[in-house]
Parts: sequence; structure tokens; C-alpha cells
Amino acid sequence: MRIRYLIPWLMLAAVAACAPAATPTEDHHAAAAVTVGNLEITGAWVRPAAKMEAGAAMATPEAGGMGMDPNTLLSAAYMTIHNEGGEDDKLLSAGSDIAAAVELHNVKMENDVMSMFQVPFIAVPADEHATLKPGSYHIMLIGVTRELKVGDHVSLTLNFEKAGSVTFEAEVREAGE
Amino acid sequence: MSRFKLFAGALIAGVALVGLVVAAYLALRPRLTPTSFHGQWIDSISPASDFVLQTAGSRSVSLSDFRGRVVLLFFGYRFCPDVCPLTLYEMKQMMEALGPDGERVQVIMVSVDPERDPPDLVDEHVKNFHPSFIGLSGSADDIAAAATPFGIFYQQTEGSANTTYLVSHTATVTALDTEGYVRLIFHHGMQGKDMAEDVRQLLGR
Repeated sequence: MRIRYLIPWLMLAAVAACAPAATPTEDHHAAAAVTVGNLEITGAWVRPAAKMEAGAAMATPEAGGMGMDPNTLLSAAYMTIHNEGGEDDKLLSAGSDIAAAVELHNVKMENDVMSMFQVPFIAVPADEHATLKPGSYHIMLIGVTRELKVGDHVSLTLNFEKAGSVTFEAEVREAGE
Repeated sequence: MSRFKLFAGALIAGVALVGLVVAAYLALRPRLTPTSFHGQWIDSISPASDFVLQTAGSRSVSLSDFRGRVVLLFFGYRFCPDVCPLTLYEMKQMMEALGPDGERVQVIMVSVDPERDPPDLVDEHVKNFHPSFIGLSGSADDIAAAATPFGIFYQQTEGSANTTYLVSHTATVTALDTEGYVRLIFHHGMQGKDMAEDVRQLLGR
């Protein structure tokens, strides 16, 4: 008789015990928000980069950039930068310990022709957000020094005009959410 | 009385006839109305002009080798870090949505950067997205000859010390039916599941 009364309580206790464990699992997918000054960075991800087996046989001395070295690996980083402060900011440059060079780029599409070009900065206007996504603004990682597989983490440093610098880890994913 | 019976009989026959016509219309409708596609439909009067380019191991491949399959032809380059991987990723999603029907589909990426994309590398690059994909490259002249009939534009643009140069290029995917006729253009950003629906229609499913 007593035990029958206990069952609902036991079930409730079990649910309570599971609930806190469930939250971090969900967070694992959506990259944690990073804050610097008045800026908040969400949904950061980096494209995979696979080593070229065929390239190993044809290595040339011009390593590093996108010259003729077939072993050069490329990737790109994407995210949303929210500006919650009252003043405009700019992403001036970015860096990563896994890339020989990092550039800020944008893409324009004209009559179905895609052109990518380097930009001096990416504006993050006051009370608005800058979206870095495929086919638009992105951070280009040139001369990636190791293979980037889905689930790996990559360190990124962003340098803002007003908010200053911030370093955080972004997950390697096949595509954004 | 008999006049009433006649009237009732005619009414029943009339209703039945209308019902039959409606049923026949509903049954035939899929064949009567033009099929709708997510991609842009292209009318062709003859199969697309053929080309010969090279894949891994310097093996020559012709477009016409793939008659009997729906071919999705895309022009891009390996050092394209943003737009080309998105298209290849969507086509990978398309292959997953197609399941066994994917065996009658061939995705081909032709490099518009032959200087930096020897056949072995462009083929390995696209196979990182899906093992069935084929990457092609060749001489600058052969690539221009392959791209021009499909209305594909490409041009080197100034890069930095890091990138040396970039390549602007048409970012559409051309779908050819199993007879080699150009049938659809997928503009950039088309989702894999939508491409899969269109490809199934081209396969006659």
C-alpha cells in the first residue's frame, strides 16, 4: 500500500534527475554564445577541410597560400554577430592558429555569376546584427594546417574596432543550422 | 408515372455521366497539366553538345558516357571555399533523398581553374562530398569548349598575396535528362530535397 504512493514520487524524482542532464546535450549542437563588449556571437561554425591524398604526390615548394601547391587546404567560418550596444562596430580582422592566413570576404551574385572578393571590414551596426553565411560574408581560412573533420573544434580570434578582441572555439560542421 | 420514371432515369444517367467525366479528369490530370519543377525548365531540341575532359588517373570522360542517367553538371573550382561547397553539399543531400534512384544520377563538377585543379585533385575533392561524384579538368581550351554551350561564364579575378587569384563563375547546376537533353537549371541556393524531387520527375518516377 505504501509503495503504491511512493511510485509517483519516484517517477517525479527520476524526471527531476534527468532534466539537468538533458540541457547540456541540447547546447552541444547550438554553439554557445560568446560575448565581447556589446557584441554577442552565436551559431559559429567552420567548414570541413579534407587532406588531398592525390596532392601529397605533387607537392611543390610554394606552400602556404593558394598558389600552385595542391596541398593547400581551405575552409571558411560563419556566425551571427549581434550588436546590443548603442554604437556601430566593425569586424576588422580575424585569425586562427590552424590557418596560415585569414581574410574577410563577401560574395556577390550577378546574373547567376558568383564572385568572391576580399573586404576591408564587416560592419556590425548598432542594435543590429551581421550575418556571416554561405553565399555572403564569411571569414576565409587559407592554408589550413590540419584536416578539419565534422565535430572538431577550431580556435578563432576576431578583432573588432570598438569591442576589442575575442578568442573562442567554433565547431566544424557540414552546414549551418 | 412513366414520364416521371423517364425523367428520373435521365437524371440518374446525367449525374452518372458528370461523375464519370469528373473521375476521368481527376485520373488524367497529372498527365494533362504541365509538371511543375523547382528548377527552371529549359526546352531543348537536341542533346547537349558533347565534351571530353579528364578525371582521376587522367582517364578521359565524355558527357555522352552518361546517357541513361540524369546528369547534374556544375562548374566550380577546388579553392572556392564558400559557394561551391554549398552546392556540392546540397547535391549530397539530394543523393541521400534519392536513395536507390541515385544510381541513375551522375553529379559532375568541371573545374574552371585548370591551373590549380589537375584531374586527380578535383575528382578527390568532389568525392569528399559523395563517392559517386565525378570531378573533371583538362586543358584551358577543352574546359572553355565544354562550358560555353551551357552558357557558363568564368573569369579569374584579382586575389591577395594569400589567394593569388580567385575565379568568378556561373553558379548554376544544369540538369540533363537520360537522353542527354538539357532540361533544368538550378539556381544557386536550391535545396537538395527540391533537386531530388525534380530529378525523380526527370527519371520518370
